Amino acid sequence: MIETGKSLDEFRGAVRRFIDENLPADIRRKLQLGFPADRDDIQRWHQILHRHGMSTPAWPEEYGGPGWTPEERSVFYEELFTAPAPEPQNFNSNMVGPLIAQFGTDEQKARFLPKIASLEYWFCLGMSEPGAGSDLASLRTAAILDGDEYIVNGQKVWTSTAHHANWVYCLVRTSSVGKKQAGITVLLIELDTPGIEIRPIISIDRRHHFNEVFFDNVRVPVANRIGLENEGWAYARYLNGRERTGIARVGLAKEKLDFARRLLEERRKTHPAPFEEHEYRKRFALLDAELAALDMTQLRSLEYEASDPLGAPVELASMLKIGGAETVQEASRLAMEIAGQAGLRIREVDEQQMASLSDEELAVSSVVNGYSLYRAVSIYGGANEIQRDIIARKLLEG
Amino acid sequence: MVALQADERQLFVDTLGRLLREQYEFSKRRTYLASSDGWSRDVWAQYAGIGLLGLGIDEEHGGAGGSVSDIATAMQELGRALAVEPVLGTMIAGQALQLFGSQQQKTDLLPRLAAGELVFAVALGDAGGSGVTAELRDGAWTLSGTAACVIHAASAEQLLVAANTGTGAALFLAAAGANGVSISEYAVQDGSRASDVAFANVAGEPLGNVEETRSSCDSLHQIGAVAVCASSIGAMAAALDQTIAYTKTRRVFGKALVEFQAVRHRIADMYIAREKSMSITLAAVNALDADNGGGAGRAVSAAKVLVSKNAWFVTEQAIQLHGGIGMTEECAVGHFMRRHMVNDQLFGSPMQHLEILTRFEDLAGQGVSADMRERRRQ
Repeated sequence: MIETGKSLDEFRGAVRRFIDENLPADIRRKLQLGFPADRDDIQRWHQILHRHGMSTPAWPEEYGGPGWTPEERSVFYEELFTAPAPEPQNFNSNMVGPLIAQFGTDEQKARFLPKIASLEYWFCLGMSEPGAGSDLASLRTAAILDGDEYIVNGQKVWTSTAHHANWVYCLVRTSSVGKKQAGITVLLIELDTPGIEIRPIISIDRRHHFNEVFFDNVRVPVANRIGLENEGWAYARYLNGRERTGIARVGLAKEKLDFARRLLEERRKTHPAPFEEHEYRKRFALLDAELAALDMTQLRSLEYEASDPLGAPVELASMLKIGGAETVQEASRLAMEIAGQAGLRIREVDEQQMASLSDEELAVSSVVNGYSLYRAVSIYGGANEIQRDIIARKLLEG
Repeated sequence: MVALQADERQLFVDTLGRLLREQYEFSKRRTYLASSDGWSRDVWAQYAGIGLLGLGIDEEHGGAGGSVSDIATAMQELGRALAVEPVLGTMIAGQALQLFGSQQQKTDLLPRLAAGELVFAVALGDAGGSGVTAELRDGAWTLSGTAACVIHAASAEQLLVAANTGTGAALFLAAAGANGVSISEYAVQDGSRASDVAFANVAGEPLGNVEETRSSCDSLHQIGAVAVCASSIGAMAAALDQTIAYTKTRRVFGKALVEFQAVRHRIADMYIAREKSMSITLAAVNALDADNGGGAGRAVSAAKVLVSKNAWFVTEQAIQLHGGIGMTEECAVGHFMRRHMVNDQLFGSPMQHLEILTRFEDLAGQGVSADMRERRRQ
């Protein structure tokens, strides 16, 4: 456990040392070569962090949080991305956990928080539906009260990691009277409850990240409702607000830029091309400048957190989301261009190939998957168009 | 070669378009990709039947006539449908034979090519070479080295290779099944098959007169480059059409997506990107058909560079405007991006073509637009 109260530089050094000493080498190598962490990787690392009291950086100390300042939290995440290492399971650590800490009953806090912190409960988010994406309030998955249980019927989509999870945070409709937002309730649902079916969705990186989740007369105890019935929209906004600031992920874009730089270094050994190298280095320089600006914007937004209970202004959070998306997309595009024709080959790498192929061959095999997957960052968590609407509305209508 | 008459071309485009609409519904495409060839021999026979494979080949040799502009038009339709048959390699090889082959080679090979009886794959590499060298020993040429990412090599009967003879690149024919050829096949990002082809002292037949084929490698690179530009234009056009259809029906916040000005402007920008790409490719095609030598090279590189960024924009924004569903393997929209991704790296990368353009700048030339004005004056 790394204590608060040092200088930020000392804190950063301590985090880096911790990661160097504790991050399994196979996980670091996998991420360095551009492959995503799998279920086992995320679990292993989350549990290591948990053992050292660092799997829930944003939680109040009374629930096991490390008591770090917002700046220290930001440095912690940046170092994880730079290592590279997986984050603590994000839905648990940054969204559902803080939501329960803020709005749950004492009984719910006692029942859920320790298991969320340890990843014994793995939460996914049941929010979007086929007819409700950007317009989330239009959701139709219904919950009808029957004694001390809700009966849930409907369907969620784009449910990331539902195939790894054992719990789902689910937005349901408990009333169709009045405004759409006024009839939404938050339920925590155990995924092995009878009536739940999970179907994989294959993404354009040919991998399985997202799912459809179907609810057919699923019975959920009222004790699993967070807060009040029909008050769920406010809780959902709280959770989505946390998702937005988390998504800047400046460290991720920096790591992807470094990946592109390393790839260019490797390529020029076998395919020297001075003109191209010069062009790429200009683009690296520009992206680096953008990342420096984004980094400072993130630091500025953290300053608000210290003094304002609502945190950073919503337009600044939206700016961070857009900037985080655009920089990681540009970095992944650079790597793909540098890999060139060699990246066109579809190569699903198994464990044996991880050991036998060269680092360059492995890195080249992951660039198109990375580029393809990161097309999603301008869509999920509130599409970039929505974020621009938020900024415009705030500036123009106040 | 002379372009088809306007009404002939229109008839051809309509026929090909109809064929592709019938045979290339997206779930059918998936079955072709999953087959052992990775493409449909039945559709291939239909291509031959409508004269697609004879485009750019003279009637004397069993072709349909037509020029590079007709080849480009056909490639655009194939790009729209995301077709995966080995048409590109076969048509490029057809051009090579038509323009540079000996009379004997033309007589032996062109009629069978036009009839769909011979599949060709082309290993032409790019400005930096193909990875294959050719050596003359005792009056016979042999090919050695490895050509990477040869589209559909494993399906081909014949390979057309640009090999370095020591004094420059020249074109050679080799039988895909010849001694010393080894082919390791894989899939590329749009689902098509490609192979790394290794040559170990493989018998190669020079195309026509080997002394004369040195500049022909450049010509074929240029024809290939405009062909893949045309394919990306087709993919862009289909991506835009699907995006318009989707955004008209998808409702958010009580309105169809097309009622939001940001979406309307994005669609307008996608239209501009598509039209600009068509214009620059047309300029390049005209330069090639006019047999413009250096001017054609400049126009072709301009097309490669502009089509590259514009097609990335359109295919990426098509995904963006489809939202989550655009991110799925199942939805056709992501596949237009993948087709462009492959096209982008064939016959020279955008970076390589940018460098070519810069070199033209260095020569204090007046650029592509001046060339076009000059050509219109003539």
